[in-house]
Amino acid sequence: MSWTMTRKALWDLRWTTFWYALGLALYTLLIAFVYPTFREQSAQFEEIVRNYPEALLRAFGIEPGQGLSSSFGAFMHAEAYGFVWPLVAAIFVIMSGAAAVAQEVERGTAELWLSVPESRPRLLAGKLVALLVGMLAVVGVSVLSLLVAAPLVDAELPADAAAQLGVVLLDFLIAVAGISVLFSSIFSERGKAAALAAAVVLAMYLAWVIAGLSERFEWLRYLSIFTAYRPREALEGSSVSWAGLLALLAIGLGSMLASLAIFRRRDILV
Amino acid sequence: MDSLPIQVNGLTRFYGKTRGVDDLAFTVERGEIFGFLGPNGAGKTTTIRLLMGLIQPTRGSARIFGLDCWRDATAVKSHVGYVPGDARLYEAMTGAQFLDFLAGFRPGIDPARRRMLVERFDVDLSRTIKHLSKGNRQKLALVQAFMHDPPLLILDEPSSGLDPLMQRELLTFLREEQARGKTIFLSSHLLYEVEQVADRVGIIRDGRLVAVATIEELKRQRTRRMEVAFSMPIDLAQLASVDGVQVLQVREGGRWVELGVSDGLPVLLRRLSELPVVDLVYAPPDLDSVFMGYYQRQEAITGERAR
Repeated sequence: MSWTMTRKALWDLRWTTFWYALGLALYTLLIAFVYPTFREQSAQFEEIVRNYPEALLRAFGIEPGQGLSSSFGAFMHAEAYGFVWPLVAAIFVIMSGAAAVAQEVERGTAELWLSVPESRPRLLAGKLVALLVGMLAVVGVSVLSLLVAAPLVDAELPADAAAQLGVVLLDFLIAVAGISVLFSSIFSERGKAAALAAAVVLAMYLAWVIAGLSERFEWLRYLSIFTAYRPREALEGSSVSWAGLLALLAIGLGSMLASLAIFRRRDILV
Repeated sequence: MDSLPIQVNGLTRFYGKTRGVDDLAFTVERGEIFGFLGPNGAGKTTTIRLLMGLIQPTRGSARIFGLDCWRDATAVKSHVGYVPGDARLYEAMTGAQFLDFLAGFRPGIDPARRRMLVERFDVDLSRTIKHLSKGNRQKLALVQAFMHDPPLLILDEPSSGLDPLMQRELLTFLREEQARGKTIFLSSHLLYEVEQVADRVGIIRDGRLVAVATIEELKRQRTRRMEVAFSMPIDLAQLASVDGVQVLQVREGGRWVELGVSDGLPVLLRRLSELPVVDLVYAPPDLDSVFMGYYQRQEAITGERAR
């Protein structure tokens, strides 16, 4: 792996990572500070939520049977980590992942670092490590902000629950990153790579929503990374599904390995 | 590294059905400056991309110091300094950051050599690249290619964007590098540039190698255009009879003549001095003159065969 490339890629990602990490942490804090109000009026909220269509609840990551539990974990899941957080973080990862190869080919800058005595897979691996560090920072800052906010709003969030949440979030982002980098290694325009990665992630999301609505389409859940993305279990302190997490990791790392193999063989036409 | 710096054999690359280069075969000897001449779109950059392992050949092979340019691309690059045509650099970096970044991949670069190059090519390292002119970006691309002191330089239109003084400085530098035993593959569409430094020249057109010749052969074989205007129609035989001169076009009832001059200039000038010349344009020795020479020879050979 090329550390020179990692350092360069980290430098490139620094501001994007900073702003996404800050934005998601502030959003986490904002939602956490709404929690006391919710807790006081949980009965009324329950009533409102009961009247929402099932499809809408599922679309926002809420299991209709579970309703809105008044626990801090369930609230943070429903308001942040079930929908908004993964959506925003996925945008960060898709844009950054799609840039890894495609943008450099598009701008013609790849030609220079492909003239150095370092293999293509090692160069790309260097970029992937930087992306991983960026994702780790975004996840870490969000989880940290949640840990800081919980005692301030009189809620309980055990450290191991927070750690599990971190693992779930990071695993999810690794899967999204794998898909994005895979498209980036195939195409020569960042826009195209990002659009296709976003389309695949969106299709997986819709597959997961539809699978939950009808037994006939339940099989669709096996086609979606969102089936394995279950931050609520982590937030509520119950044990997470390690099989699902391993599946996310396998998709992410598998796609990354495929992208290394594709990048090794492809023509670079700048 | 006993093998030839560059050895190209049957090298072919198609982009779908479009021909990039077809069946190229040439070698570049150690310590030689090899000019690679051709008009824009002839296949020069495709050849260089094949040499740099950026694209895979459809057929044939390219070898650098005996290493296959595609399969052993990583090893090849430790022996090569490369200036891409129209080099695109990282806009947000300063010149110094850019050189540091690329130096990071090649441990052991002599800081004194880097300093020497920066001073010699007068590169401003403190400004961000987006604020640099095309010429200054090109100078930065040159420094990054030379700074690790490689035995082979592959340069794609290296003087592009440089002012005339800096162009001259570059050619002087290339001659000095050659004297230090370096091999240089210089791709260009500028004949005068290649003629000044190259020992041999490969000429490429429409993806095919037209010829490989020494500079002396090249000078002998080129045909330069001359346009002459007269105050009255002249007897064309007076010009056409000069050895090495061909009448290419006649207009205005014989008062304007275009000639192809490959030899016999002193005789031609004497003849012209006896004619009522009002204007004369002698085209510079550009790439066209070389192609014209080669095509005329080709036609002559085909004509002989037909007879």
